[in-house]
Amino acid sequence: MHIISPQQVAEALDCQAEGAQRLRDLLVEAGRTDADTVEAALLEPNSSTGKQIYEMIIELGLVKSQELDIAIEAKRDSDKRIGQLLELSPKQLAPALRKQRHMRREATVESTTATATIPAARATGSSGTPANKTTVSSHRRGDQTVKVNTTRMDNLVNMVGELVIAQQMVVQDPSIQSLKEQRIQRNLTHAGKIIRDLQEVAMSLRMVTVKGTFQKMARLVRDLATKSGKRIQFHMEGEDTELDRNVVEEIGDPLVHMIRNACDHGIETIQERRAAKKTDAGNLTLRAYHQGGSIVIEVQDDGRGLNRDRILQKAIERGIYTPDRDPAEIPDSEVYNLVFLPGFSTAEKVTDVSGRGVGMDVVRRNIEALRGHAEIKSTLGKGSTFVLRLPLTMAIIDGMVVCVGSQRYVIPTLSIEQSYRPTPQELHSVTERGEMASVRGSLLPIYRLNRVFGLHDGCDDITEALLIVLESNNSRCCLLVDEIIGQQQVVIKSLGQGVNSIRGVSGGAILGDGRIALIIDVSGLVSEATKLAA
Amino acid sequence: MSQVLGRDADNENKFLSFYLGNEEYGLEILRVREIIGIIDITPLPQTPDYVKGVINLRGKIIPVIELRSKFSMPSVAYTEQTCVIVVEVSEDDSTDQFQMGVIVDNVSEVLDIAREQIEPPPDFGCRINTDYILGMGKVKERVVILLDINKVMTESEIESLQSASTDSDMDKPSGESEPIAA
Repeated sequence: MHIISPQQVAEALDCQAEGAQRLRDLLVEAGRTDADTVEAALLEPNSSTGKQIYEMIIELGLVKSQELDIAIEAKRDSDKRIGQLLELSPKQLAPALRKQRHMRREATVESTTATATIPAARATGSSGTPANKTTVSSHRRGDQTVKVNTTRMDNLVNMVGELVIAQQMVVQDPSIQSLKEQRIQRNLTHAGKIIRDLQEVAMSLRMVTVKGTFQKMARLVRDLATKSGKRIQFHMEGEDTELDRNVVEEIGDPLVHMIRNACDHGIETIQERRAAKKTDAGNLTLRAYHQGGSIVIEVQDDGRGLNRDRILQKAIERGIYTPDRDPAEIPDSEVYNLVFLPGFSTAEKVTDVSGRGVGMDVVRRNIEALRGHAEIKSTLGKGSTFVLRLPLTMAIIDGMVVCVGSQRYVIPTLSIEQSYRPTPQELHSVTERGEMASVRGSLLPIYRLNRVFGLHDGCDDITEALLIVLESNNSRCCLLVDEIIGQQQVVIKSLGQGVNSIRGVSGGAILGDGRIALIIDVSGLVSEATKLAA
Repeated sequence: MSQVLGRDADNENKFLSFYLGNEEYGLEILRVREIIGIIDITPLPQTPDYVKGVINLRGKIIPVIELRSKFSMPSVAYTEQTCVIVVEVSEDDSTDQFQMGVIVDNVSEVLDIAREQIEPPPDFGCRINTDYILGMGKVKERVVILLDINKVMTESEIESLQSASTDSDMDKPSGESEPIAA
């Protein structure tokens, strides 16, 4: 047994990056403790997760139960992990933590539109963001469920969101921040932690598994196989992965489209497969998993794969794409993305199932409306995989807060490539109206946010301001703002039904000081800006 | 100040009166959700002049329009008397109700105006559109212009729909400054 260094603890926690960060901070703060002179408890014995860590550590034989009891007995609220107290080495601690995470994944919170389980609170909560964590209940005895009216549940979730904002407003108030009293700062932090945990629990109430949707697809595949006389084996992976209820509803149609494509154009007939020395039955796999702050859904088939040359040819023929360089140099991913362009279809026959050339661009639009991303991977002759990436929750966005004049705006971080202050040499103009910047070799148009939105103030001199390089719909541009305030997660609020859709704005966010920052919809902004420039 | 006004059968004849300059107007009390003093407004692009922007109402974002602007009256600077009346509007009497804020010079009182005291609006010809006037209420010697808030708001929506889609240059940024009461 030895003292753990912050780095070792971080390794032990492997993917819980944030937990590692907090733990690191706490370790630096607290210094050394040992089992005999225990002062700080890290467990609240009343929580179920607390009990589990206890049991697991005993079970794995890491520590004698006596020593563990001493640790538990000392009560104070703090978030230190057991390892620090008991001076377990990261290697010894890792299996316990891994097992706990595994147990969390197993016991899932299932909420359909009519039922919701109330998950137990977590004891060792680090300040997780709802987009990164799924809160689960670990009652092994069998989850009980209650039926809850969905409007009430949505109200609850909204109110919790507002509570988070209200708490931030209190904490960020300058007169509160200047209070010297340690106790009140501690209490506020404690309250804040409880509120964030509450928010995670509330968000988790809206999570449902993709199982239902996937199972519907199984039926679809069976029907399609029968109709076309092909043999198709359907596989599901990760059907217990959870999504926000609304997102699950919205991906239904795009999934149907992609599966129809796969069955119709991807998977070959039995004869073709035999000739290609493949199994008689084609394989179609629907897979869902969490990655980073998103959920990934894949539709994978082991059929024909995409024919890059045919795609290029059709796209050029239909005039929907003109290559700006030698076709052989265009990377595969770009060629496959042509499939998403409206009016595209390489199908020789238009069946009632697909081939009409309206499917894939609608899929992409639907996915992008959910702030997601669609792409295709493929190998000719071996098969293709359609990959959908979606944010875990619709209500929260990771954004960069910028200011232009007296107004503040939020730009979704996903769309930001980089930001910098340009030098005069990097700026160019066309007929004194179109402004451009050269960024890493390419010339990108500059849009002044204050002009696009009709504001009077804001910095005029580009070299005193900041350029934010944005990426959307495969095109890039630069946005001119006065300065960047910071990056934070914001709750997206709609602008009210009385206001019709504003191009370039996807909603509003209430910042810590109560003021509103409009959330920018990058593709809308670009089309608005190009119209103004015309 | 913020008040939520109750709803029951008695309130059908009650109107909240407010002033725009020297003119007294009235809104059906049943449609009034609350009254707040003027607060920070975040401007919205691509909206008509009279849509001043959005405000943060206890965590909810609602749009506000300036009634003076909507009626093509000259704008004035805001004072501590300037109020935002939060109203509930429904489009074409559908069940969908949403909230909007209306900026007025000051709020006066709640008036009890019986049907008999309400006269239809006079016809000024095509110079002035009187669709959104419910009627002219007579209170003692005063005349109160009673507004049908649904028609005031719905009309502005239609206009903003038109301006948003036809890309006319109606989106001229307003020139006056807006001192906000602290």
